[in-house]
Amino acid sequence: MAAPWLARASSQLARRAARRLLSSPAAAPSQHRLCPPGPWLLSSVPPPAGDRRGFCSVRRFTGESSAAAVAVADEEAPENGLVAGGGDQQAIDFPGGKVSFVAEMNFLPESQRERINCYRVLDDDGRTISGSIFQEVSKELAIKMYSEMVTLQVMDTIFFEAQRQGRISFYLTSHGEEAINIASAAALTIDDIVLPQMKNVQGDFHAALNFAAVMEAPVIFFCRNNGWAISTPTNEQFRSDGAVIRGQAYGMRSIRVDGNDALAVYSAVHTAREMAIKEGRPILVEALTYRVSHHSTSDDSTKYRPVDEIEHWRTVRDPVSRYRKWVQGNGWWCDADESELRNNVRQELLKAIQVAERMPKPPLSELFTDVYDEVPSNLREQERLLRDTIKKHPADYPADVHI
Amino acid sequence: MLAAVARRRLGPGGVMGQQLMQALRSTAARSYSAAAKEMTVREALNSALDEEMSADPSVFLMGEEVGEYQGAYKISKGLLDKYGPDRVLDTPITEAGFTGIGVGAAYQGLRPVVEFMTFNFSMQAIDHIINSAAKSNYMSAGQINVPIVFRGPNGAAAGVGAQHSQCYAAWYAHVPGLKVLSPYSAEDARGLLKAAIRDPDPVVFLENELLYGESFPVSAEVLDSSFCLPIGKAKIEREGKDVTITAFSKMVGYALQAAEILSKEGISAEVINLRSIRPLDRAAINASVRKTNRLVTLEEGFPQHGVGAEICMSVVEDSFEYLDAPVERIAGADVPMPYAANLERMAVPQVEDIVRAAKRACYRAVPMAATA
Repeated sequence: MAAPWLARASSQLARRAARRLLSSPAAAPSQHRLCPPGPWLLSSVPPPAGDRRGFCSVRRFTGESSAAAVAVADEEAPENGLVAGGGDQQAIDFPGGKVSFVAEMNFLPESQRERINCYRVLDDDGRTISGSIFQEVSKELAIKMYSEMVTLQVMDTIFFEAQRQGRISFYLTSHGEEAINIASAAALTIDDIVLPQMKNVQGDFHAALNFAAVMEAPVIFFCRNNGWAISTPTNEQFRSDGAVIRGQAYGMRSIRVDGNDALAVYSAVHTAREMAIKEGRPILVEALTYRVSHHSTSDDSTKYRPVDEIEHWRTVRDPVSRYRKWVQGNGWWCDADESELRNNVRQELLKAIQVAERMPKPPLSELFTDVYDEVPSNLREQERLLRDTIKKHPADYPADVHI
Repeated sequence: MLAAVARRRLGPGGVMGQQLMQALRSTAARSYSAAAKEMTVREALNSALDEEMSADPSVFLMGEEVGEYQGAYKISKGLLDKYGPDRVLDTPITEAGFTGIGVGAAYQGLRPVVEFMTFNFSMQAIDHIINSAAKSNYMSAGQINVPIVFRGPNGAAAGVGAQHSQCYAAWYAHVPGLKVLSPYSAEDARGLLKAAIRDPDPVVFLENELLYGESFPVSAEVLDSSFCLPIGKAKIEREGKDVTITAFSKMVGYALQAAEILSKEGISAEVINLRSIRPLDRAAINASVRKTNRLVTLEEGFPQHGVGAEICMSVVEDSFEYLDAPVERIAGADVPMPYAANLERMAVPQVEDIVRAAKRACYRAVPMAATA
């Protein structure tokens, strides 16, 4: 009866538990792998798999180091618990793995000399960059992706207007970020679970990355870095090199991608998905982009950033037209297709709004249902009282609430 | 004599306190069915978890130290060995993280039991409890139900200071979409935890660290694996006719002690063990007040916006004309819990406070100056 993913997850947990048992000295002391001698450079040789301890217990740790001492019997095995590394370096196995000592203070710099570089496939004019590596897409998929990007663009324009006309209360547009929305989804399958959030980086982001790395969960963490949190620019939000740099801090493989390049986003997510599934690991994808739109219909971003900056990203750096140039360059799209698509989409959306507006609002009973699985007696009582009051004072209540 | 003995209860030495509790309880009248054996609250919780995990493979336990350590308070003793690491998960130290994961698991059809080492730490996760769990069924129009249980010790322990002693009953009972339970006896612990795990809605289950070691008689019915108590029903622990005392968790024991003292002075107190804070058994409370005409609400937590305030309002709304005296509210002092043992004793209700309040409700004169 359990869902298939549950069986997968539980077998992964079982494998992990088995691995922990196998790496304990009781199971196979002679197979204990020593960590390569130091020093470990900042560009990081990852620690050997046997050192990945998850939640280590002091008991197991002590056992392992004494096994290590036994295994190096033919080398110096000092009694003070130190393990000889290469050269003059000494290493000591604190909980968490062996580290080399160094005789001078090495503060890690607060930032790297160079920022983590950014994967892109298409140049600003929609031509594939020579030598670029990317996931091939069929004509059918390419056109589908492009059509969805256009649909999103048209939808955003129409619904923004609808809010200004008072027909809906609130809306958030994705202008400038269409490639991220569509291309990332295109790389997933209908059975993949997507949990979208509009959540600027908060505490449980860190918990989630940490947990996923420790639990070896097959998850893609897709972070859209569009430069703004309402009016707060990223350099007032954090001082690290974006989000991608944090992946490694949590022990997670990560990539930075040009979020305005639909092909690059598609390829990165496609590859990340394969890695996550085949290797049973989480992947962090940071997509860099620029939020062309205001934060929401309640925001006027010209108040906190230059209008020509917005214009530049809206026109020259538009992901939709950039991708269209590539699709057209393949001979898969033309101007006639373009106007037909935009017209059809617009008509469809306007019709959808009309249909939705004509639908009756929820009846009064919906106010009280689904708070719990079953409506409790106090809510039944409240509903009864409300209906009585409405009956006695109908003029005080809106006409559009269906009793 | 009993008052002085009760005061010493919060002094150092839990063993001393336990022995005193045993002695006092043997003199307090309780209505239990003919009991075959005794069981501690800890054993009750452990057996309830064990039986529900055995009956339903989608039930699993997660929290800090619940697995290899056997539980910070040994509530989950033996469960990792029996059910394995798939069903008993030791989590990293992030309540926000593991509560979010638990709620996500519940969205997908599992039945997590999330343990907080104390409910003070649940504040790290309260956004998930309220916004991700409590409101999801409503916001999804019934499509996403969240059959999750959040459990752990709540309220004051002994000498753990301000940040580890708060009672969260009023906080969680404030929220539509949550159910909030608080057991007193071993029978309560078994029956209510089983009900919570089986319930399709998110349940906050407020235990009490000082009650874990307390023994209570349990009948054969309680010991049966199908035993379950209804959510939303209070229990009349002691019948009376002169004044109603409502209480939950550890305070039920204090109320029973007070009732015993009062009975020797000719005042017959009815003690209601609420068991369920949300939904509150307003029917039982009001029926009792209509019988006794006097009400004393008792809780350990802060007074303002507390459980007693809600109970008082419920009685004013439904049974105002039955009240012969103003409602008396006994709660903890309106200060962060002091660390100094002598001050801590002064900051939580004591049996004498309950006795005095009951007498005031009965218009019996009591000296205003508190005894030292």
